[in-house]
Amino acid sequence: METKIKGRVWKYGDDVNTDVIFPGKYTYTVNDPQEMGEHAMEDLDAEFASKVQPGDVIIAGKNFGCGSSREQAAVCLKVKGVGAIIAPTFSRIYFRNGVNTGLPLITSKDAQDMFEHGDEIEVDFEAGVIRGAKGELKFPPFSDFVFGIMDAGGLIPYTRERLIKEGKVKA
Amino acid sequence: MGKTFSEKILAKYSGLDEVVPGQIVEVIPDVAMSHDNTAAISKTFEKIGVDKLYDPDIHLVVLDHCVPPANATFANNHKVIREFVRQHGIKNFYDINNGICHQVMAENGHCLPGTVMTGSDSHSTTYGAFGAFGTGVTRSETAVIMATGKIWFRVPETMRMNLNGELPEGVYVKDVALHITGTIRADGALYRAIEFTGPAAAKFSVSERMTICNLAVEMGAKVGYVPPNQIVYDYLEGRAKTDYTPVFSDEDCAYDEILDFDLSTLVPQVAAPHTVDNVLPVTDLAGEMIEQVFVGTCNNARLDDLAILAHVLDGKHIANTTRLVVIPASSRTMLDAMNLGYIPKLINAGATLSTPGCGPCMGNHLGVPANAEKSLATSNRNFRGRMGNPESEVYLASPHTAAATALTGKISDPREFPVDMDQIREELKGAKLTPDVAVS
Repeated sequence: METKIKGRVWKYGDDVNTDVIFPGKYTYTVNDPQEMGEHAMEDLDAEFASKVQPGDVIIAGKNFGCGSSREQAAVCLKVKGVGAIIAPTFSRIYFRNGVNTGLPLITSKDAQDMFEHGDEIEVDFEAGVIRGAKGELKFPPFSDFVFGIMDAGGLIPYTRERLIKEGKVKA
Repeated sequence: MGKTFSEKILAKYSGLDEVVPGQIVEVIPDVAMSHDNTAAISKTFEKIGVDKLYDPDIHLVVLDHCVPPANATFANNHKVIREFVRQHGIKNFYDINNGICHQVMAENGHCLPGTVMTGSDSHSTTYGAFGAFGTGVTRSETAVIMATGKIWFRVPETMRMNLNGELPEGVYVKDVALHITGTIRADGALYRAIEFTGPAAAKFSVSERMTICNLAVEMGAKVGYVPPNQIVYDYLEGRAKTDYTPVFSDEDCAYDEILDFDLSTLVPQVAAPHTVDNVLPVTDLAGEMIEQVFVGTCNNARLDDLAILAHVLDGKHIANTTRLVVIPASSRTMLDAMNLGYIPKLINAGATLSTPGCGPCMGNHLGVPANAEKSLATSNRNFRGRMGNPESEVYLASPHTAAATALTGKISDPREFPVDMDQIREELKGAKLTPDVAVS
């Protein structure tokens, strides 16, 4: 897991749901992660998929990722290089999807007031600090369990490593 | 200090004496459901590198999200799943001829009190209708359950909602659930479990329990739960796959929040575009033109729902500016509805009947709306683009409101089209396959 990322802010409102992040009509027809990325945020912001750069950060309102359990809604942002999503709260399944795909989700109530769409932003995961032109924000570090999964690159590589250690899967 | 339902069941399944909210535990679920997403899950499982499933009997697969398949992509997806199920000896497999996963699982006795159930589907909170700890998980997590049997959970805080009073005529559990969602909003129960208690909840039929627990996820909840009682045990008689031991919250447990709702003053509710918590009384939206009414999905397409629809439409015809798509929740529901004479009434009234399954709920097929059209559905989500077209709008309401709206072609107050609930209750006793008798 990268310890520091730097990019620009994409800002959205409350309750950004999984249907606008990754439309349901593609959930069984699009299986390639890169292609999933091409539909990222399609029904909310048509420009997003073509303009987002690796290291960019999404700052949104409460309950980000509400709705369906679809993992593509995390994968499509991860493959586009989104470095982190910052919101006051995340829907619980989206939070799981973030952890399980290694997409850092940061809970912060104040980031919305400190950043505008297009602002430069830096996130230091080790120090637990968000930096911007208007100052710094602290955020609590991930728990060891959650960090372990994210550091391994997500739940699947984490599980593989665990099974290899237990001698149940060959390395 | 006593413990909540969630604390007790997660302690039991993780082999700990006690657990507290916020703690992370690992458990082996009794049932791990997946549907058409099993093809993608199987690919992830193969990446982990284990040859065999940890326990094939935990897994349950239902094909429902696009049945029969709308095109070659969906068909190939189903083929991958059939081969995977055969290869790994998954006995609990329900092919395209059964219906919607949550309904099929209920009918076949897989949903049991005091068990832990996961589903790779956000509406897996439905299992709380039977007193199970049921929650939605992700595709990768189901793949990991296949490999290791295990899933991690954060022990949730619990919200208690006391439901008091009798429902007025024309007002249903769907209206209660929409009203609560509108009141506490889409994140009102975030990360928490909800226990629906009180004298009204104790009288809910199995179908009604499924409707409210299904919508718990739209309130942000991890789990919805109605304490099981004789109504549930009667439903499970001769149906339950195994013995079960119900789990209840202790009298002196610590709830995070307690809310009271008086159902006797409630009016029919509608969730307006584009969020489930954008809820208004039907009277505020009456007169809005609706081009398509959809009665279907795991939320409201059971026998009692179809009975109300058929009673309103009996001998009448839907408005010529409106289409009515009806998709029963399961094949058994459809058979019961045929035997009780509901299906002929619906077809004669101008309804378009389709194969049991999820249908257009998430926009796969069987009723995707056109640009600028407004739909009113008995489903559980109205997000922009949900039914397959971001240029359309979706309203959510009860089957009775849907019936009234189909007749007039505009959002209508169901109380203007009364039905005889006593007669419906009598008729539903004749259901042989899906006794979802409306009690309240």
